[in-house]
Amino acid sequence: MKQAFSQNRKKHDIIFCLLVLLVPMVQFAIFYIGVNITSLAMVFQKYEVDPITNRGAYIFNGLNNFKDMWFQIENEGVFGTALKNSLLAFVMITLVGITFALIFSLYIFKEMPGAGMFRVLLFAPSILSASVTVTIYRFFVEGAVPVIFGLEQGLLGNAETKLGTIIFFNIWIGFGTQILMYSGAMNGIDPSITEAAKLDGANPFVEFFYIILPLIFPTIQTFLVTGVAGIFINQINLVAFEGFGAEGQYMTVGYYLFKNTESATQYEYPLLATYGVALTLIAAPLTLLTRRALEKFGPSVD
Amino acid sequence: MNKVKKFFQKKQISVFSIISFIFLFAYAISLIFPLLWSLMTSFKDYYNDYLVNSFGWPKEFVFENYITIFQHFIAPMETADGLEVEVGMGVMLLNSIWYSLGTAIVSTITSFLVGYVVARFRFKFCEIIYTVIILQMIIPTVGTLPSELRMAQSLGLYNTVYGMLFMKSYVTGLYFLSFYAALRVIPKDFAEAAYLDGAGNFRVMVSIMLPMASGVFSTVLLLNFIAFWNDYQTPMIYMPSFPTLAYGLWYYVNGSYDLETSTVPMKLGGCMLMAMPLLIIFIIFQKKLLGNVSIGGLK
Repeated sequence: MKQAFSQNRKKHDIIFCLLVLLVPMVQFAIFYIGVNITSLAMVFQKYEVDPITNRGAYIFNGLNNFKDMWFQIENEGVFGTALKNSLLAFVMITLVGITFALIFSLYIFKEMPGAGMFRVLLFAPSILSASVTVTIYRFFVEGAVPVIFGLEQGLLGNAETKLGTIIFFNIWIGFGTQILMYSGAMNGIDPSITEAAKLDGANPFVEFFYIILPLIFPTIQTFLVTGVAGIFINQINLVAFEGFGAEGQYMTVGYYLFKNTESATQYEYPLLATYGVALTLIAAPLTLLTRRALEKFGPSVD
Repeated sequence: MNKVKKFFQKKQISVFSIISFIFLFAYAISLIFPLLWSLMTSFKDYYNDYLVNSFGWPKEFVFENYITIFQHFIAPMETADGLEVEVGMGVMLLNSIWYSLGTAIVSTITSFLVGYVVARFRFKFCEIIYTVIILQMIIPTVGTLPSELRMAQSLGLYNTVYGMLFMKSYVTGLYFLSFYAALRVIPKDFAEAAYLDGAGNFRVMVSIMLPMASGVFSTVLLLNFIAFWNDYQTPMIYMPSFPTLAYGLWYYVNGSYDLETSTVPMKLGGCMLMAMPLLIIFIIFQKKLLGNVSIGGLK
């Protein structure tokens, strides 16, 4: 009797789970699995219109897309610059951003003077559209900063400072979610642990590096790993800064691909998909290696 | 000297807190000051005031700037016949409302549902789903936009309301982890008691578990709403017939060739106008938005 009840319950549970998961599973099947398979297929295809029927179709193209991609990389030079800029942006935005976000989160967690106000202020930029924050920043560094600091030229108007100014914007604007998550993780630490450490004579430095940091490290790891995963996706808000007219020397890979896709026709899709697949082949192992390294060498709770 | 030291010890003020305070204070100023400068500049006359006085107080507050912005805030829209027409703020506002509200609801519900199943049931496929979501988070797929577009077009989902809602019903890794963390710690006894009282799985999820995770749910819903409200790239690429305010603002700032609104005060005025609804939402819901959302690792 009991076994029959248990079997019946299990059956009901499975039906419930499948019903609940139906829409997300179909969405995932189409827009993750399907999209990636299509991307992979397009790498070996080209688009051609039949002159007689006037109908377009994707046909097999061997490895020609790879050859075209390599030719473009070698001759245009834009992609190489975009690659360099993407790596620079990653190092600056992720590493500098995480460091400051941790310092600020600790300040908020410790409820130091003005912590509540700073928490609200740090999150405030996250609620505004990139178009709003970028426009304000853009005109401020061009219109007000030269007057305040007596500069001859605005920071975005000067080719030497332009990329740095855009990267700085991305750090400046990006604390919101990180601080929300880090301070949330810090609040989850059992107060008895930090109290016991204090009784044992641990100073704030020891408390942070040997107790707080290891305990919230899974959250930091999540941001680091997703940061690495996003190296070639990050557009550093260039679409909001420059529309689709950014010069090659300031492009990132994410912007380069988005800009080209936005104006692409069916003819250009296969080459763009080839770039995507080639970059995935670099980014995926890099991300997994980062994850493995953080697990192995990151601070331990022990 | 000892008195100063005692004061600092009594108030628990360390070198760290002083340096952090300086950084945070500078950061707060760097946020507030450009915002106030932009607001002030949006009331300036471009030729008689801004060009000669880009930093100082306006000679005269030109409120007409905002009337001009209202009249000239337009974006291109593709009609059913494939023609391009221009639409104003009203149409864009309606599009923004359905797009951000609809997609925020489906996206939040999806992340909650998957988080619920994985956190509460012990089937093998739950572990598989968890692993797939984590892998999806950490294995980047670059440059899938062309195939996404191709897929959306071939399935008839491109440039439609239902298509967009379906496309956005995906699981967001970070929010899935938030729901997973919140639902996993709820003791089993609550659900078991309800099952004994004759409640089914759906009722347990909606009447017992959802209220217990309502804090995380409403925070994620708000965060999603704000993200979609501000999203200008999806409407730009996937919804040429449904321009939203976010896309309209991007077009107004970067794409428009309207001479009347091409000046700095006009562009900043447009930004101020678009920032206001969100700042109001933020002021009303700041406690909810800044609630205790946390995520774990990627194990």
